[in-house]
Amino acid sequence: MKNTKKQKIVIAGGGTAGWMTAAALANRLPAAAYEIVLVESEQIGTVGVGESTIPHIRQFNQALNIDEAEFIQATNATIKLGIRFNDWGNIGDSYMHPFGELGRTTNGIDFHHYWLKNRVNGDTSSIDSYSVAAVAAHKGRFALPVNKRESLLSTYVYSYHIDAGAYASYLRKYAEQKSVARIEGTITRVLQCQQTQNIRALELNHGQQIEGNWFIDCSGFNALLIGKTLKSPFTDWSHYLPTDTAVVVASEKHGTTHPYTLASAKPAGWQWQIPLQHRIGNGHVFSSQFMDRQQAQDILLKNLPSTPIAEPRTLTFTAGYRAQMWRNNCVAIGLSSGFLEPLESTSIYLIQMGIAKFLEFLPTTATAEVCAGAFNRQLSYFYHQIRNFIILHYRLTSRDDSEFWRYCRTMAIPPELEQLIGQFAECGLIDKTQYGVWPAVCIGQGLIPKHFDSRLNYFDDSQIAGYLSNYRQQVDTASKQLPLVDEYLTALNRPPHDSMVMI
Amino acid sequence: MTTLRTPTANNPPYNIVIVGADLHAWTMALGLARANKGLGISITVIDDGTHNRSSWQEFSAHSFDFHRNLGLQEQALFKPGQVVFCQAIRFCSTNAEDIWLGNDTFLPVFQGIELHQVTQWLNESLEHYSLASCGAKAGKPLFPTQQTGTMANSFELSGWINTAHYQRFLQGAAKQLGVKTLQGQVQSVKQNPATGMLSALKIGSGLSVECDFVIDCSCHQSAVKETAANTIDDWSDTLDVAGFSETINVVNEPVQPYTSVSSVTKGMVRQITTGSNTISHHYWRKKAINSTMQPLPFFGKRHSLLTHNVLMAGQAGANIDGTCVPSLTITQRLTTRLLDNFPQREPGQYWQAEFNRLTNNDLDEVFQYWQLQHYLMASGDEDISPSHQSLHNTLALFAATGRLEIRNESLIKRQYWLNMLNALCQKRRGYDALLNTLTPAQGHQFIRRVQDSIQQSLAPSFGL
Repeated sequence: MKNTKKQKIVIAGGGTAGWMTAAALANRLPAAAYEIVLVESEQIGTVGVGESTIPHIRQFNQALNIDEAEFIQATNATIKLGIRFNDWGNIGDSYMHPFGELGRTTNGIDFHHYWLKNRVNGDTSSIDSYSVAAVAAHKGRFALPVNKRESLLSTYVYSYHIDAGAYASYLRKYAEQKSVARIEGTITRVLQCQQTQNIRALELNHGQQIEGNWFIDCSGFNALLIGKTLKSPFTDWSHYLPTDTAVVVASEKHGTTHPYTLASAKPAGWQWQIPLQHRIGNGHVFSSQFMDRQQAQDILLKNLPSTPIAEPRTLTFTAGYRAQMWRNNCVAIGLSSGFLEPLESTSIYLIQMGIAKFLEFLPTTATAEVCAGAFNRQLSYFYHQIRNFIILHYRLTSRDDSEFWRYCRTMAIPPELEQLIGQFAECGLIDKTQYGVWPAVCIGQGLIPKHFDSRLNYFDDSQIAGYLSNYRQQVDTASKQLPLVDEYLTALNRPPHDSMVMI
Repeated sequence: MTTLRTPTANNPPYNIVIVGADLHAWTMALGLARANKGLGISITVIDDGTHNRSSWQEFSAHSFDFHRNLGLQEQALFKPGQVVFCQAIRFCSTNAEDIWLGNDTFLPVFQGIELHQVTQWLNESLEHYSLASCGAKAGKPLFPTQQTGTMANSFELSGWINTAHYQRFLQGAAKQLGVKTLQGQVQSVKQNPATGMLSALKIGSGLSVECDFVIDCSCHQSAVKETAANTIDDWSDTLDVAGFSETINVVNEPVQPYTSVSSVTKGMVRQITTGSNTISHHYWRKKAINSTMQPLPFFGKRHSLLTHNVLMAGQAGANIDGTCVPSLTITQRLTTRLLDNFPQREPGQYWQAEFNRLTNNDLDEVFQYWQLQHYLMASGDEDISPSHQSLHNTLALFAATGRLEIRNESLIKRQYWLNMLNALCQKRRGYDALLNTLTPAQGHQFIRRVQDSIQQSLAPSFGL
């Protein structure tokens, strides 16, 4: 079983996926045993996915020993406490999908049941008002969570809005310092072993051949290795997720920074707004079956928060994934493995999971097949979970103002999602292994369970009302203590001798 | 999607009726009564003569969490002579060395690489680096400390408890909380023909007991079972267990802090020594059954434990004693699951489906783990051909890499799976490729430190 020959890992493509992979592999794998090479071309642009991220990115950075302040400065990052959804359930609705707890489980009963019971008695408070992350996000405030379970300030986590291109550059520097070799060139041919169909080498435009034991396909939608060469089939999910185009444009920095991604529903999709330190990222994701590109661009430009600083550009995509993201000696990470629209900011998370699982199953030639099976099963599980969560947002709409939303309201959905929605609608039951804060999204989109936990019938109404009122007040007070997110970022960017904004 | 703006108020009062009066029935009665204390929920146990199968019952570490979550005072329960704690399991072999699996919850890691990978790399036996196993082998009962992350806190306890003693404890506590008892067998049921829900049970005395939710823990065939009957997944087709018997022999030997498992021609024996007795639970193959044994109604589980508002628990729902997961653990888990989202008077179809899905996940996991135990006890040359694709995948991955795929919210802890797989695949598996980048001397240094720490913990002066 011992395999002491130096292994060479070739990463095809830079961008966020390529450089995250290179950095993580270089950090974990000893240079004496693994040679890591990344091939990219300056001629080929990157999609620049993932300006909005979820809290898992912090674990990734921490594993790489990246200094947070340095990272925030290098990527012009701002803080993110959740995603604010406007006009999704109905036009005029607004709710937050917060990073953190939504109330606290009390007497073994999930918090949203208390909220439901109180609602029967006439309470109209929003469920957002019981989440520190949501309330702080609305108020534009942030400080690092504290590490005391009894404190409400321990009930949230956070993430970042980043300049994805700057993040890739930052990681490139990191990876190159750890001996990753970058080779400039365009891949013109992929050479395979005739017998095994394994990839043997990549041939570049200047004739150089890059041989390797393992090839990581980070070539984006092109899927040059996993798709075009190894013919791993792509499963199309566009019947569940009909959006297929995005028009994107950056606009000037404007006003105070809000620590959330804004996702506003539009007649054939939705528009994002992502605040960075130096600009605002904007995009309109829509379905070309229901709207043409010009209309979509007009909607985007009309709803910009500030003056655009570039010409809008268009991206097209198809929702779906490859069940075999690992085939032979090739592993697809990033857009080459699949695509789920950015509604829940999961692109970088899926890259991260791909890297983590590759490292977990780190194969030898002898174990590749069994590792590929495990990798594919686990990544497929993540893809399905996130897919279902994104579909949830479209399916749970009451909008009737456009063909698109009428389609979404009635479209067929995966049976497992049918069950998840059914059980929440029936009695507020959630599957805690699912991705996301389900009560926030379901209730936010107007799905109020028919029943709450039946034990609450035996609780005194006024006690529940008092408990909720008190909790809401505590959340409000705790959130008010936090500094404005701009103050927090300014303090972070100051030279080290200045004091940080702490609470 | 219908958007409702307020929930519908639910319909109190609530009557829970539990049929059967064994340990399972009283576990559920106390669990539900304790968690619903003061809420006015009525709980009635119908004692239909269901007896406990044995005078001693195995329990897993899950029991401690169950008791703690219910706020039960264990001092009154765990009295000397009534309970024996175990920190390991010993698989006895006639033709090879015995195999010891500790109740480990974690083992030390070396440069981010798990211990079982390191021992495989160095051709060492993992059981020598588990404090729980080493302690058990030395006959030294250990109790985990509260120091999180230390060797002395790297394991948990399971055990055997005197059934009558435990039942008295549960029954007494449940009755104090207002749980009522009736005598008699269920003769007929009143069922809503439209919904399938049971609304009343008529017992032998002629009394009709209203019910919103029924838990059948009975070993008897009754009108409840006929109404909620569903198919049985009989595991004995794969793993031949058809009958049970218990023997108790008087001995004068020290307490053994482990359960011994032996394979015999006619079946399997699980055994513990309490200090004054050796308790043996025999699980017999079909061909070995005679009149001195209790035939099991089935070995395995109901396809769906929950139908409408009837839950089959205990002997009625799943007969899994003899596996490494005591049936009591499943009963405790069912109780907790009911309390996670307490059912309506007429439990909805989605709630039922989710309850059954989660329960089936648990029981499938038990079945898979049990198959591994079966392979472990079989002769080394036996072909391993698991019945589940997922177990096949688990074995293949572990054999190739020493890695483990495990589902979320797994019933059996990760380290238990690793220990079992490690014991099973020891002679024929790979290990983490990263170890090839290190020198064996570094590895040996690390495991020596682990061994020193174990020796220190086992030293007479060390107060665990």
